[in-house]
Amino acid sequence: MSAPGFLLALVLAGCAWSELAMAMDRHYADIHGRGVEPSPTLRMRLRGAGLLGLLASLALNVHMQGWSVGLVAGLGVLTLAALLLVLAVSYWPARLPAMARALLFGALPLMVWWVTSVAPS
Amino acid sequence: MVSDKMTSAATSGLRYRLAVLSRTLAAVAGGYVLTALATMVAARFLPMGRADAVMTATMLSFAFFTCAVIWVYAARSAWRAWCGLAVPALALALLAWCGRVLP
Amino acid sequence: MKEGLRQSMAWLHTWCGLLVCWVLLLVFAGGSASYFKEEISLWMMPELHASAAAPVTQAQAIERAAAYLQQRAPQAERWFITLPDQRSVAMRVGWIASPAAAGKEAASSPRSRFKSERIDAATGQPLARVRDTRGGEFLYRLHFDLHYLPVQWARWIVSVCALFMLVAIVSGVITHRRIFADFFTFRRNKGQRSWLDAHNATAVLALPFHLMITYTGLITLMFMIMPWGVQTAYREQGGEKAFFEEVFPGGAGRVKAAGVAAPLTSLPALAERARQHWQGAPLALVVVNNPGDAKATAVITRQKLATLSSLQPALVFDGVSGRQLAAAGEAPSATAVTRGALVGLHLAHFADPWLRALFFLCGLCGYLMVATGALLWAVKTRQKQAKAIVAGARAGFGLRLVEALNLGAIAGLPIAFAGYFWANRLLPVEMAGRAQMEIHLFFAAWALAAVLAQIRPSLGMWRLQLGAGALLFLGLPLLNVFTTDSHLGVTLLQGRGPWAVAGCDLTLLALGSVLALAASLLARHQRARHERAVQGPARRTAHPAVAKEIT
Repeated sequence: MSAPGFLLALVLAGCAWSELAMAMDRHYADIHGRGVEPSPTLRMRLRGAGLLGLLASLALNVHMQGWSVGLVAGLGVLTLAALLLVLAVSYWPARLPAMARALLFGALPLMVWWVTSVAPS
Repeated sequence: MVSDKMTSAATSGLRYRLAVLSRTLAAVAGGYVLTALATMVAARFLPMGRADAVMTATMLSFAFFTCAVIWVYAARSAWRAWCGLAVPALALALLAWCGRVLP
Repeated sequence: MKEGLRQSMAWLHTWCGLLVCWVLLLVFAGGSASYFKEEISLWMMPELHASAAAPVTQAQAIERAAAYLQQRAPQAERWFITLPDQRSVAMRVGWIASPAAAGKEAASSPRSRFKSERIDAATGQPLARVRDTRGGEFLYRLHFDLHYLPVQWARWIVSVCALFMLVAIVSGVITHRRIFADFFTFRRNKGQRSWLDAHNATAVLALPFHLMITYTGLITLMFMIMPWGVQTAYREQGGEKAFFEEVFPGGAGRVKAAGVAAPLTSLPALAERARQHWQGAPLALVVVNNPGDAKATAVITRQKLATLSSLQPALVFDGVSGRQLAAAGEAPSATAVTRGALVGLHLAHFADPWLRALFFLCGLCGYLMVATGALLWAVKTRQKQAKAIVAGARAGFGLRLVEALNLGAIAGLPIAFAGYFWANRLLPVEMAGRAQMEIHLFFAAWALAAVLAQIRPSLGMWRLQLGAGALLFLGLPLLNVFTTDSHLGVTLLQGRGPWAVAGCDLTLLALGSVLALAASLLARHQRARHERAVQGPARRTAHPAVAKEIT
């Protein structure tokens, strides 16, 4: 597990989990006000993006370490990201969209770093 | 038919405690015996090499035991719990005996 | 029993958890530490830190080990050479002394005649100047062999607890009504709900790990817990022994000594042939049966690879001629590979340090899961008994017992671990029975915490023990400055390593900080409650039992 790969997987997972959280009534209401629910299309989009992010994080780990070890490592990264997100959502519930955006933008330089660190080999 | 559905007033009564004890006995002792029988039968009859059958049967035994315990406490009455263990156990015991006798 | 699946599963979950939670705390703590047992062992032997940087090839290591054994135990029945790998520096040699040499009866068990020493791979000489310690190996053994108990009893106790935990996991998932909707929920400062949320979070977010670790733990002991399949299938062949001979190649090469002396062939040469056979893979273990005899055999086992499987094939050589006699475990069946993978998942030997850190983190989640579950029950029960307590009755016996046990275990275990490490640094290096004394001090520290918890299971005692744990953990890297030459200033700031030692020190700081945070949160909570209670009857609190609790 290289550092850029691990961080990238973690950030992707964090972004994915935050999108899945935003698609939930409770957390959406924490952001937008009590009783407000996400529209069905928004919910679908958020869930889709979240699922893609989770799969991307897993795929990255599988790519780095092969199927068996990669899946184990991938699940571990998902767990760590989820734990960090639960704490973040608990302390700053209204900032969830901002966090998701920050993670998404943070993923881009990490991706560049990872690709450049892998390329020469 | 006597059912074990307890109202909260009777929950601390003797009958409740006996029901709990009965189920616990069923889960721990009955569940283990049932699992042991299932493992023996699987080890004997699984269509693979002998060592492989033994290992597979033993590896799966814990999932089997867990299901047995869940069944015991999910069953609607202590009687059903015991029956749900006893009937398969008898069938497995019969199979195990067949396994010994057959070549 | 209650009606409804969810309620009955909730009942089952509570009881399965409550009966075994304190043992599980020990298992999770010891097990999590085990992922870094080699690193911990190195940390606990400061004398090795300087030479940790000087690598030695396996061939050289075997040669030196063989020379040492030839000189030290030429008449032994069997030799064992455990080779250093990437994580462990010292090499272990062992031998089973002949009954005469050990001064025991001819029929005494080989285990009782087993002796082992640690030797320096670079010089082939015993590391006498290294402090005697069981190191991380004790923490590893602790989590399934416990201590002060016969090994079989301990393993049965741990197995039963693991089965209870498996049932608790499944019943917990069934009973958790809104497992998806509550996935990210953690409501702070809401009393019982907060404990429930914490329990749910640590349980559900690491659920793959918890399910895996429990099931694979059972798999490692499966032949002990469920021997009936083996017994039945191998009844005619003599039962278990026949099965193990067939499946596990470790017993290969055991033959009776001929009683005729013959020189042992060159072990490094055999090792080289083994390594070539396995395409350069490093070796793990060399076992020599009947060294110096005409019927000597050498069994060379390959290291576990960086794949999931824990299987280790072995080659058997004739000890005099060097001819290869047999190969064991070379073509394992799919089932054997599966079992190897399941055991491998539990041990995580395939994991690089970062993946192992993830395993360690999940293990800590397991510890917190069990702890929050037990605390949730105590808080809930205290609330249920609140009216009676305010009216003057005493808290129920079960509640008092659980509260005291919770304190002694949850806050006491960190104190025990810290006590073990402090003992390692402070006990005199030349002391006899040093390794055992470190272990005694582990349990003494724990016993002290547990007894104090029984005497006075109050929030104040929680603060005291959490704070003590924090100080002890944070103090260890500081203690290193005075007792070793490889403290953080050297290993981290000067970058001289070994990195394993620096990592241990940093982890100690991190864990100490978490304990300190817990203690300070508790202090804040206590102050807030005190203010609410002091504001008196004019302001009714939600939980009248609180007033009684603040002592």
